[in-house]
Amino acid sequence: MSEFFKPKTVKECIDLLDQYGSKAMIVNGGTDAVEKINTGKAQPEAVILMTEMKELKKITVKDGAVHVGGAVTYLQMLKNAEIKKNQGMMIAVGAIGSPPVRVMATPAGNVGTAAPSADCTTMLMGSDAKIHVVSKKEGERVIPIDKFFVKTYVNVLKPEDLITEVEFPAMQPGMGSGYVRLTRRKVQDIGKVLVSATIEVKRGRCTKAVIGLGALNATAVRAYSVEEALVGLSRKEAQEFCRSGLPKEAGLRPSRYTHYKEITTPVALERAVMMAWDQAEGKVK
Amino acid sequence: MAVVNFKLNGNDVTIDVDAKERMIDTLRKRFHLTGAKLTCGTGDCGACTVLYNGKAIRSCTLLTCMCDGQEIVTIEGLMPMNGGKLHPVQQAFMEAGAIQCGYCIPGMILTTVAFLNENKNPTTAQIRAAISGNLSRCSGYVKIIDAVKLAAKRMREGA
Repeated sequence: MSEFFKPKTVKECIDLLDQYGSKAMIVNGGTDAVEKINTGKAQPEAVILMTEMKELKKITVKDGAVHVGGAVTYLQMLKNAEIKKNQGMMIAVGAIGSPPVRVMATPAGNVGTAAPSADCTTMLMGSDAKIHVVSKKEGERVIPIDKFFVKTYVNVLKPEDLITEVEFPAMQPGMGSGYVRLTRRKVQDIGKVLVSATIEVKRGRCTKAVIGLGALNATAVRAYSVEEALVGLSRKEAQEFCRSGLPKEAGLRPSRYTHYKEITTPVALERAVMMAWDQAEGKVK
Repeated sequence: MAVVNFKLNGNDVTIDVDAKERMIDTLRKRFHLTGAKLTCGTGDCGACTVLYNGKAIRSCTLLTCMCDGQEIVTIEGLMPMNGGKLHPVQQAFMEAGAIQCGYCIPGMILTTVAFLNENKNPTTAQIRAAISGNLSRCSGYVKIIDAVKLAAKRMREGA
């Protein structure tokens, strides 16, 4: 038998996590957590709900960064004026599950689950995001997203850790983002190839690039080799480079989709980068 | 066990449940409300859709304890909560011939109710996006889309 708790503050929540440790389970939107409970993969003694922690339900902009609270839902994100400026984020979040799933599901839950094919996680990877975590013993920590995942469905969090927010740079003039997902069906499908890009363009040349890849390696990954190569290139040169081959960070695992992923990832990369480029040059509202 | 208080189809209810119990099981086994169907159990098919504070959500990925202090409406509650008359969406689904086997229809109707409460004059593309999380294996969706358009028209006219 399990009990449930609805802490009203972060302090109350981390006290509970400290008390129950691995016997506790945080349930945020429930999309992944309830399935784990129902299939017996998780049998928590204490279910800790995020629903009452008002301090984690806000999206704020501070010092040039967007801070998305740990209990913010995708629906909230899609209606937020600051998120709407981020083209790639809107596409990624709008592609998750279906409208009823997005009412409850959260980005904090998405990174917490650590699925390699998670849309929001992949976009956050391509946004240079940081995950804010707190626990009673260790206090507050900020973990860059490319240091957050260990392997498929495993991240660096300990049982007593709580994700309090996800942070990523706010969009500025000259900056653009893009997101491309290749799936078998238009909606409600897990992507086979996910590519996210955030780039900065000055006088027709790329000055900074952040690229995320999902559904290829064991976790979502940063494609540093692509990022380095894109800096200094013109639009046409960047397009040609993206098409030139599979990024080495893709780390494809053997599966029946391996060949498909090999030939489509460069195309998806090109599309994501060009989408971001267009926004950076003001061609997208 | 945990005591959970919530509003179900307009009535205040209190139940004692394990914190791991799902709302779909609570509805079907404790309240014998079988309109919502447990099908995929992973939030994908939409057959278990209910209204949670007016928004369509999945009851198979919803713990009953998550509904403490919240309001749930199932397909069984639509007519009583509409003064004993069929809800305009229910009426439109019947008239448009949108129902074949009927299995997905409670979810389709509740999704449509939540959608039309927010968008009174939807385009076909918006309707398709709104019901994209509700799978039907026999209708082909065409008449369902017709039904949503008819319901939207009736609701705009104040039916």
